[in-house]
Amino acid sequence: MKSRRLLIRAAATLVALAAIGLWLRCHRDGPEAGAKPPQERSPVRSTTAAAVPAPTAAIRLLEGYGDPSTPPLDDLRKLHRVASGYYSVVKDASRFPIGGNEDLAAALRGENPNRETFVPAGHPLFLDDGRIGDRWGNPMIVHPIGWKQLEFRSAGPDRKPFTEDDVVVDAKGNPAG
Amino acid sequence: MRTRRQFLGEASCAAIGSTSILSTLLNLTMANHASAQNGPSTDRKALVCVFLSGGCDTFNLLIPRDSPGGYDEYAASRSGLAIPRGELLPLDFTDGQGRSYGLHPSCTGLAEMFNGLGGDPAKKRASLVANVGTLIEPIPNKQAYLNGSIALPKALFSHRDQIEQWQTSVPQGMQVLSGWGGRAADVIHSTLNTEQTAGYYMPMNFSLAGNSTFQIGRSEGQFVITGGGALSFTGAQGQSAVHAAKRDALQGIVATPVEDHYDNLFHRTHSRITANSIERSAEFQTYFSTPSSAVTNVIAAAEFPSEWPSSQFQAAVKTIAIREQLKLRRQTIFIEYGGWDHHSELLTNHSRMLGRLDACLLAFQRALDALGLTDDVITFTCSDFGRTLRSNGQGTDHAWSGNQIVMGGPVAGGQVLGSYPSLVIDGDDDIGRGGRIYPKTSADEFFCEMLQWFGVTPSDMDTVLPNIGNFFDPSGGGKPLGFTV
Repeated sequence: MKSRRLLIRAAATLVALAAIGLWLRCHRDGPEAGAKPPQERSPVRSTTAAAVPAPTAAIRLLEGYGDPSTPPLDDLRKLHRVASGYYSVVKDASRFPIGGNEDLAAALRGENPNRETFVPAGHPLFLDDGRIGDRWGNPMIVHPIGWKQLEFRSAGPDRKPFTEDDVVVDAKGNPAG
Repeated sequence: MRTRRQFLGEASCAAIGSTSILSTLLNLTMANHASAQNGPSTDRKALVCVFLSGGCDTFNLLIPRDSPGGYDEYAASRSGLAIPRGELLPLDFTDGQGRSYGLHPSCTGLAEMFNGLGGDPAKKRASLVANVGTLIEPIPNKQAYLNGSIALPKALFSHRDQIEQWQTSVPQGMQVLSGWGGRAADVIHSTLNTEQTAGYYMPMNFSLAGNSTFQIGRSEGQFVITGGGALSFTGAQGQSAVHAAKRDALQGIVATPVEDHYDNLFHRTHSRITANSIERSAEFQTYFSTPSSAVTNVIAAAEFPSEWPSSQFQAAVKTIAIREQLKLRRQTIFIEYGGWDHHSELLTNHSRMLGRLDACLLAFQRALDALGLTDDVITFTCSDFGRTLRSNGQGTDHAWSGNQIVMGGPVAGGQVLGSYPSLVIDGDDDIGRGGRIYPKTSADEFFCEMLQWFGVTPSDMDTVLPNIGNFFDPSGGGKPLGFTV
């Protein structure tokens, strides 16, 4: 009986220590601590460089977002997959309509009919002003063609939208532009 | 000798424009032909819908002029996209709040029709309906929208859904799609187009922009035409041996009972629709392609612009002008002018397109007036949505409510109807994220008043506009907005 109590105490102590350790690690690696120093034109950090607390399916889809070693089109494809996933979960077409970047960004953070967080605030997907950004630090252009049909456009390296270097995926997720 | 089977097989090939065929066939499935009934009406009326697809920025079309006042709100919210006050075309109208208005400088024709054609105040042909949009039920205030207590249209701010909803007027969505023009035809074609007797059938809905949801009814459909008239089953009136063979085969189909050749019900139905379509097309084209010299001269003198979408408006004049030959007392005509999705280069492109639209509208009204059709036609605009007041740097983004044009002899011109909103960003009328104005007048009210004039009875109004009871009682004897004479 006595040995059983000792065993329970030891287990409880271990759990407490593990929790403290995890909490300390989260703080050390949190968005502030893990943020890259200012770079020339890369406010959107690669998700490989930043730790995110609870990896949702959307976060996993966004792994490598903004990674300069990958083609820019990959970022838009990832975002398109996240949006498709969002619409597969959120069925209410009336409330919290998505008319552009700010709407989609807020919806992914939890401002949606399900009150579900798909991508938490502070994730590198978001710019400082809360909008979804591209790898060059510009707000992504989110163009609603129809319900569940979003077209994404990055202004590209020249940072001017609707120019030749824009990177675009259409509402089906295919390259366009 | 080609058999009819061979012909129909050929018809599905690329030799004949498959889109044209499909448009014609799909839209000629109107099964319930009008039976002769004794209608009381001998008048003739047409509703012409000009759909500005893409989402026209109509807060840069109808602009407050009073300063200090509405113009200053406008200028502050639109910043770099604001039209200078001195360039606005003044409208001779002051609303109940003492607001005055102006039009975009490209809209000289519309301003003239608003203030009186040729400076004659007795010829005010145009009004504007302010702050109108898709609604299921009224939104009493911004908070009601924000707290989610109001039934809202499906997928606001998206092109396809909002285009569809302007055309269905059922923003909650429909399981089987039909448009309010089509449903209007369902209830009035057989009762008002009473000259169609003894098996004669000509649909009342004409689309100059392919298939449109607007004109699809439950039993009535649309007749798709082009600037050149009816779609041809044999290509562009060619003289080659292939064209001649197709014409022979067509004549054979029309001349012989199709039941003789097909065992399968689907084939029979398909063939009958084809034969009917060919007959309707030929009938229509007979009159359309040989307009009276009066019509030809009037169109030539009306100063239609040479650019798109002028040909649609000219074809609309001709289609209305031959209504007696077609035995139609009621017609709807659908015109589409696309390209208004100005996320960039708004100032330049919007100005250019408004100029073209304005020239078309003025020429169209001039032509109708010259043909003595002034009091028989109401022309109105619709668009996917209004746009954000705030600039995205180059243009504006998708929003909700906007302003629409309504014109014609039956319109009490020279008015700005509805409730023009505050244009303050994040103000009482902005639901947020860049100046998205919510509608205070429903598209249903806008349409209902035209349908009253068109002859839809109060008891049929909720068949055509299922949500109208949420905004207006059609049996009460009044008008929803008051823009018809």
